[in-house]
Order: sequence, then structure tokens, then C-alpha cells
Amino acid sequence: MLGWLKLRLRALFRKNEIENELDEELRFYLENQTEVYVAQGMSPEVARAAALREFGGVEQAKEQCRDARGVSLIEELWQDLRYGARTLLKKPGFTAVAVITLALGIGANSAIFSVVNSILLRALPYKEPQRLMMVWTRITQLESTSGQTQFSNSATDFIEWRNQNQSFEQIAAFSNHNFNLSGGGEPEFLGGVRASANLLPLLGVEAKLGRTFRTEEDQPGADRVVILSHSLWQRRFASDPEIIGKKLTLNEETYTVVGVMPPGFQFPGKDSMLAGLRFPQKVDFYIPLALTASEARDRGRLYLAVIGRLKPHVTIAQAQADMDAVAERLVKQYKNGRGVMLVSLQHQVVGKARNALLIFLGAVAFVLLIACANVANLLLTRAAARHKEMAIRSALGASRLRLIRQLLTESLLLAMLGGTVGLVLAIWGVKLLIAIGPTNLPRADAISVDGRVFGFTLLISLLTGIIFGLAPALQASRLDLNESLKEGGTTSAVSSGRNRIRSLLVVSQVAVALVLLIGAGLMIRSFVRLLGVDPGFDPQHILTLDVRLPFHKYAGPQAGNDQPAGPQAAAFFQQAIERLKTMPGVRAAGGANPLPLSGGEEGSGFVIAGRWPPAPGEVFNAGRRWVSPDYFKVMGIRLQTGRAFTESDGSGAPRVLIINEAFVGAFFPDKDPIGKRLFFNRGSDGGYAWREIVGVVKDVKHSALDSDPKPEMYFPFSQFPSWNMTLVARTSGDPMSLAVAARRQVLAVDPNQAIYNIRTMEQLMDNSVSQRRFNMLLLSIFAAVSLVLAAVGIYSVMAYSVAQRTQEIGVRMALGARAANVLKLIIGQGMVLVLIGAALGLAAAFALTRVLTGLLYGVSPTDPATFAMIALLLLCVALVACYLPARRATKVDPIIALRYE
Amino acid sequence: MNKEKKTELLQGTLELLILRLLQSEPLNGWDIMQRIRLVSGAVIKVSAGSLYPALHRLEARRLVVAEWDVSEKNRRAKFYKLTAAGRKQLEAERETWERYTGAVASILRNA
Repeated sequence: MLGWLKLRLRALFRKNEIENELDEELRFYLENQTEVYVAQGMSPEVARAAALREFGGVEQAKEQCRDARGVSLIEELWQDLRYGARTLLKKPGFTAVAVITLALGIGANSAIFSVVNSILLRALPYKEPQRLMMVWTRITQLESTSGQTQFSNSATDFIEWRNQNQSFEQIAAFSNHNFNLSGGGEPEFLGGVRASANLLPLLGVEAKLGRTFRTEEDQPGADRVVILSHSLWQRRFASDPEIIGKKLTLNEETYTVVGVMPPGFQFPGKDSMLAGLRFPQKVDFYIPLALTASEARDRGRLYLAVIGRLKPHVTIAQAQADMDAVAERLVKQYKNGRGVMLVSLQHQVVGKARNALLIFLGAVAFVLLIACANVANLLLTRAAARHKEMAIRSALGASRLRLIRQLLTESLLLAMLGGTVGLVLAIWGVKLLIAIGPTNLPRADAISVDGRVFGFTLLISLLTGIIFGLAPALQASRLDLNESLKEGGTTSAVSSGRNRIRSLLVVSQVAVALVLLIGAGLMIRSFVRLLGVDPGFDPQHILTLDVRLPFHKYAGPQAGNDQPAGPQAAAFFQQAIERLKTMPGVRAAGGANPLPLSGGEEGSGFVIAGRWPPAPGEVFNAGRRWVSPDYFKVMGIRLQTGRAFTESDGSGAPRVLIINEAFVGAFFPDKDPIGKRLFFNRGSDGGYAWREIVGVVKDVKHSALDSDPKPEMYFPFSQFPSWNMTLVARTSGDPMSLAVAARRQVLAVDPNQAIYNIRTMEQLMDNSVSQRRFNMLLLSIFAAVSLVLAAVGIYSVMAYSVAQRTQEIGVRMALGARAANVLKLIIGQGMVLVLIGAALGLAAAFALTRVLTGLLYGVSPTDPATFAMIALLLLCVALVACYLPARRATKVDPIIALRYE
Repeated sequence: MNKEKKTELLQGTLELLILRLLQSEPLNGWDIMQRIRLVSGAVIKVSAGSLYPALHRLEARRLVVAEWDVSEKNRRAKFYKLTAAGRKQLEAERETWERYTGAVASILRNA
């Protein structure tokens, strides 16, 4: 081994010495042989020539000796690289075009891969995250009216599941919880999580300071302990290392700090939309779940998220079957049909983004293929110019393999240069993607360019180098020495083969570009459709302010987060709305919770028949909103029948509600709903209350512009005061210009409450389509790049063809062909290829656009209008790309053309 | 294609012959050439153009080592010497060769 290495290293570094030795060795032989011939009576010159002849190809033998010594691989690679670099430097224009083309293709791929890598491939930051499952309640009879498939869980179900399941190592529950932190500085509103003691150990995280909860703290009475998030600890407590054991006042009660979580830990992540549960954007604290006896008995309230860690080697299907059996038993026990659904945490977090990301990855790979075709084209053109060079090298003893290797080395060098520039573009592109990306992109904060992205870039660079380099290399190395070395060089056989490859490249470029363009066209049409959708309200000139009231000051008679606030809260909002109304520039003001398109979603179960308790299957569910009397007027939501709320629908007045048209369609398809009563569960006391329907309003796109309106109910907010409200003001001018003044007016009512978001309704609309806009934009960019690349490809092939046919065109013109004939000839030649490509592209698009189904709105994936329009667009661009070289052909001067070559 | 196959066949045989010639003493390329001519006469035609690459291949495979020395005519020449690995290879190949030729010969005789 050592000897071998010495030989190779010597081969690499002592090249001249070895060459000299080789020369000397062969000279020794030749001189001996010459002497023999001289001794036989030949003259020295003749003898030398005879010796050479007898030897049989000295240079070839030398080349073979070099090969044999295995100098080659490393040595030749180095040689090839240097040679390749020199050739590339000699043609800076060619090199620049090729590198830029590749950099665009590779860079786009790396950027998209970075996103895919961070979102889909990188494991969630918990211990063995693949074993983590979310557990949701299924209520089949509500799925059609609510459009919701995952419901949060009742405490009773959670406890039954925990006791009866066979599949989970551990199972934990958590819900959102808000606190007012007072004492030691400004009172502050905190968002947090109430979690069973085993949640954090189940995730496999430990406290940075102190500890997580003990099992005995998960009991009412022992649960006045709190774990702080790292950021809260830093911000509010100045990273106090002595924080453990200190007392905090939360909602007027004393809690002891037992732990601080590590930096960056966030659960649930802000991105996981957990079945309508509104977890805070940022979790400030954890407190024990500590279910009370009455909570544990309540199977009606669905408010818990449940997560389980599967036992090792239990599959999700096995666990689902096990949980189904448990649910079956519960159905019998409680006489109430509910199912259960397991979803892996990974899927819960990134499931929605997955499809779009994979499509982007596919689209961007198409772009790279088109880029490869262009570079292959360039190389083919250059190969024609280097024909003689190849022939000479071949004559000097380079084997075909050797030539291919050299040409491939050059391609790889190009690809690596492209990859390097592409990586820079990718790093920049990822930043751009995050900046323009939709607001709800999951795990967006984790997106980064890491080692895996570098590896990916290297891999695709190598791959592209081979893809675009192989065909030209094979072509260029296929030589007929005699033909090649003759004056006038290119043989017809070689050039026709090369033209065939070129034609193939044009056809495939057109086909691939058309697929991308059609995809983008469908997305654009969807988006235009979406922007044309009537949201059911008039979003112009509306300012919105999210207000959250401090807990202690506005608490109602029943303490607790989920209880209505006190009448002070209703009074506060009333006053704030009055103040807004009097502002100059404000035409009307009101309030709602939750506001359409704000991401908030609340619902409530009800019974139509006058029986209580209801039979199974008689409880329905619909969206629930609390609104001020003027809300419909402010938003421009039309009243269809009945009346709107008035100031007199207060806390003492009869309970009323207004429903939307979808509600009428679902529950009163052929009856007049006005005057009908709905019955509602009052919650903890097991009683019920009824409300009378007084009006019907037009449907509003509440959750998103692209989802169908669902049954909704509006309650007057003074009949159930809420902690949160979004105040809305219709202004006569730019709403944002009133933002500061409006904020001042609200603060004037009570300086202690928090206004945490001031936006216009148009911004909210904009946010709600940001995902689609992003998808459309990205696919359109890819399609545009591919169109440009394909046009350049067609142009360069046609231009080359014209250059090749100069002589022929000259002859034709000399024989009387007119410019129009020549134009037709050249354009015809190009357009035949384009049409073949377009036909293939249409067929491929027909088969492929199906994957877009989930991303489209109001457009079929095989929409004939889009297909036709986009194909036409492509043909027009291709026509221009053919026309430019064709026009040059008509300018050929027959005299010059005939002298050409 | 056809031509390549023939040289390949020749190559292996040529290398075996070289190993055999080097068994008794180190030789330079010229010497080896003369001995092949001497021993096999006109039957096997080997050109120097294929001998030298064969020698270099053997050297690369560490079956022989090369050393610069002075030839009979007082000129510097590269001498090839069999290594232990080379000896082993020679034994193995000779055996294969004899088995092969023996088998062919017996078929030719008896079939």
C-alpha cells in the first residue's frame, strides 16, 4: 500500500522526472534497435526510421504507459481542470452566460430545498418526534355543517383515553390560558398554556432552571406553581438567576416559580393551528392542568388539546385501531357518538404546507432542466468550433474515453461555478422567500441554509454537470479522424447528429416550459377569481383595533377565564365605540369578536327543538360572533330580513340573535326563521338558555376568502361581555391616518388595557390571501424564467442553424428565392419543433396539473381556456425567437454567402 | 471492438511471459524483447509499443519493481525485477494457463 502510494504521489508531483525517465527508457530501446539495424548495414537515418516503425507508435505507447502508471486519474483530472479553466477563461462570454444560467437554476433549487429541508425534513425539536401524535375528537354529524374534522377534546374523554388506551407511553392534555401579571412593574397580559404535568417530560424537554411539574402538582389545591418561558424570564425578570421559588401574582393569586424553560423552546408552536384552539403567538408560561372534579365530569365542553407519545414499535394505524376501540366503548357508556382521530405532530404542524412545497420543488427542478438544455446547447455549438482540437488530441493518442472525461471535467467545472454562484443566490433567495412568504408559513423561523443544503447544492451541481455535459461530450468525441482533419472540417454525419440533439433539446424545453406556464396560469386565474370574491362586507376604509381587557378589573361574577367578563367590560366597549364615533373622519364605529379574516374562530352548540336535554344528533354547531349594534352597518353587511341589533338589546333585555343565510339554508331551508328559538348549554351548571332569532344577514367569508360560508350566529355583545373585542371604524379617508388618534380615544376610556393590533380591513384581507399570493408568485416566477430560458434556447438553435445554412440560403437567394420564402423556410423549421414540444407539453400538463387541485380556487386543473391561452402565449414568444434569426437569414448577401467557408 | 478483444487477450499472455522471463534475473525492456524473440521466434509477435505499457502496468500493480542500472554496453537502462507478489502471481497464472491449455489440448486430442 505504501509503495503504491509512493508511486502515485511521485506520479503526481514529480511529473517531469517521470516523463524524462519514460523518454530515456524508450530512447534506450530505440537506440539499441537502431544500432542493430546499422550493424545490418543500414544508414543511421534509415535505421532510425526503421526502429521507430518497428516500435509501433511511440506516442501512443507513452500515453499507454502514463495510463498504466495510473498517473492519470488524479494527474489528468488536475490537467483537465487547468485546461478546462483556461478554455473557459478564453471564452468569457460563453462562460458567463452558462454560469449565470446554471446559477439561476441551481440557486432556485437550493433556495426551495432550504425551505423544504427546514419545514419538511428537519425533525421537530422534541425527543423522538416521530412518536408524537395529536389526538382529536371526531364528531361526524358536525363535519358537514362546520367543515371541521378535528375537534378539541373534553376533559372526560381525555381521562378515559388516558386510562383505557394500550398504545401510548404517555398521554398529556393542554389548553390555552391567559393571566394578568401584576406587582413589580406594569400589569401585563400574558398568554400561556395550562398543561398536565407530564406534557413537558413527554416532549422530552427539561427546564433550564429549576424543574418541570411534579405529578402531585397536577391536582387542584397544589397547582399554584408556574414555569416561565425563557423570553419572559429575560424580559420581565432581567434573567434573575434566583427566580426559582419566588412568588408571582397572577390573576390576583399567588404562584411560585418552579422552572424556566430553555431558550427557543415553544410549544405549541405558533404555527400549529390546533383545531380552532387559540393558543397565544408566544407562550409566556405553563401552569398545571389540575382538572377540578366538575371539569373532569364535563364531557360537553371541548377545549383540550391532547398529545400522546406512542410506545416504541407501535404504528399510527395500530394506535388508531386501539383508540377506535376505546371510543366505541365510550359511545356505549355515554350514549353519545364521538370518534377519535390521531394525527402525527409533524403532519399537524406542516401538513398544509407540504403539498405546495413539493410542487415548488418539482417546478424548480423543471426550471433547472430547461437551464441544462440551454447550456447543453451552448456546449454543442462550442463543440462544433472545437472539432479540430478534439481530432488533434485523438490523433495524438487520446482515447475516446479520455476525451469524454476531459469534456465532462469542463462541464463539471462549469456546473460547480454555477453551483457556487447559485448557492450565493440561494442564501439571498431564502431571505427573500421568508420576507415575501405567507404569514402562516409553518416553522418559518427555522428556515436556514445548513449543511444539508450545501450537500444538496453540490449534488445537483454534479448532476447538472453530467446531464448537460454528457450528450455534447459523446457527440464531440465521436470522430472520424480523416474527415475531421481535412480542411473544412465538419462532417455531415456528425453535424446532423448534433442537430438532432439540438432539435430534441428545443422540443423538450418547449414542453417543460409549457407545463410550468400552464401551472402558473392556473394559479394566476385562481388568484384573480379569489380577488373577485365578494367577502360579504365592504373592506374599504375600515380601521380595526384589537383590544384586550385586563382580567382583574373587568371580571364578572363568575371568576375564570372562560366565563363572561363583567358588565364593566360591556360598558367599556360601549364607551370606546362612542368615542370613536365622535372622531372627525369616522363615519361609523362598532366592534366584533372574532372579526372576519382575523384567524379567530369560535363556535357553539345549540338545539333547535324545544327539548332539553337534547337527544343525540339534535345538537348542532355553528360559528358564534359577539357584535355591537352598529357592527353590520359599519362593515356594510346587508340585513336580509328581520331587524338588526339595537342599543336596547342589553343585558336585561330578552336574549336575541341574528343568523346568516348559510344558517337558514342549513337549518330552516323552507321555514321563516324569524321568531324561532335556539337553545344553548349554559356550561358548568348543566342548565340551558334560549335566544330568539330576530334577523338574517348576508353571508360573510369569515375564515377565508376561499372557503364557503358556514352557518353563523351573531349575539349582541352586551348580553355576554367578552374580554376581547376588535373595534372597527369606517373612515372617510385613509383609515391608517386615524390610527394614532383612535388609539388615544380608546386609551382615554381606560389607560390600563392593551391595544395590540391596529390594522385596516384591507390588510386583513391581504393577509388572508398571502399564502395563495405567495404560491402564485413563486410559480409565476419559475414559469417566467423557464419561458425566457426556452425562448433563448429556441433563438440560439435557430441562429446556429441559420449560420450553418448560410451557404444554402445564399444559393437559394441566388436562384431567385425571395426574403419571404427564406423567412418561411427558417420559421417553419423552428416552429415545427415548437409545435411538437407544445403538443407534448399540453399532454404532460393535462396529466400533471392534477397535483395543483388543492391550490386552485374556482378553476379546474384542466381549464381549457387557460391551456389554450398559455399555449398561444408560448407560441407567440417562440415565433419571435424564430423570427429574429430568420430575418437575419433574409439579409444574407448571396455573393458573400457563396464565398463563405 | 474485435481488435480490442485481441489485444486484451494478448495483453494477459504478454504479462505472463514477462513475469516468467524476469523469474531468474532483473532485465531491461530491450533484453526482454530480445528474449521473447529468441525463445518464441516468429510465432509470437510482440512490438515494443505494447511491451513497455505492459511493463508499466506490471509496475503499477507492484508485481515488478524498476531500478535504473548500467547495461552491458555501459548505458543507463531501466531494469525490472520480480517482487514477491509478482512471483506469486506468476505461479497462479502459470497454473491457470497450464490447466487451460491442458484442457484445450486434451479436447483437441480426444474429442
